Amino acid sequence: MTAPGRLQPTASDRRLHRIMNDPRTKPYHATAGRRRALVLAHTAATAAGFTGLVVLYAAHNAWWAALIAAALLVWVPLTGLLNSMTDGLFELRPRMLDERQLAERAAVHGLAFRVVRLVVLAAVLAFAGLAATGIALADLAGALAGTGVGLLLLQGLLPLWLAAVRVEDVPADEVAA
Amino acid sequence: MSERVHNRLAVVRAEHRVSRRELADAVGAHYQTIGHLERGQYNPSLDLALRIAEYFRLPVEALFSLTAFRPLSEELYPRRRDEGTEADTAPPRGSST
Repeated sequence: MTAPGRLQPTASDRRLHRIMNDPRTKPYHATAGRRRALVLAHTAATAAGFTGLVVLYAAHNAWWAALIAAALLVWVPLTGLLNSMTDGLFELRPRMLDERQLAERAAVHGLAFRVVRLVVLAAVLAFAGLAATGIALADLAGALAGTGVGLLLLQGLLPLWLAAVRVEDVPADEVAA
Repeated sequence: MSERVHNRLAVVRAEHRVSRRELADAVGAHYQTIGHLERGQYNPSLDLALRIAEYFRLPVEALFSLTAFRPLSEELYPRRRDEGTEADTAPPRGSST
């Protein structure tokens, strides 16, 4: 996997590469329908966890931590499946990816960047509009903080969601080894 | 400038009875990258194209081209088609028409 001139992989790199390319996980996302369902489930788990966090902060009710914990229990294995789906596109270091994977990673990062930029612009305009109606920014502190956390999550996870959606079916390797 | 690099990778790989995974391991690529190359969804770098050509011990232009390859059957039997011989135009033996 390592091209001449690139850094040599460490034992940790090789272990992670094996995990990301483990054939036992591939049937879980072998079809486009399953991949879309997994991405939707991951998005829903992220939204549930985020909602739990916001309400926990706003309502000061510790029971909302249960929603965060439940969302995390689903979110962690789903994240593993998305990483397996993309063959570790965002988990592996560049030295463990080949030229097509590096190009795909750059393309997905570029696409995600453009989407997040639009969402940030929409959020800034929304808050500017609210401020223009006479609402003090101090009153919007909670909303600003929630939006900030939401945007942080979006910029961190959108590349993974986009990469997972762009994955195509893998044809069978028809020549016997 | 051509947007796509045509290749004969699938044909040559099948001829050599090499799996995508074996070829990928040999040239330092991911096995899915070989599939992307074969389906024309990814153009290889010069480095990768040369490594693949070296693996099959073929000149790189035998595997990759900026223009579409002619079918191998046409390249192997060009004269019969060009000449338009009687054998090509005559109906098959035993045909009723």
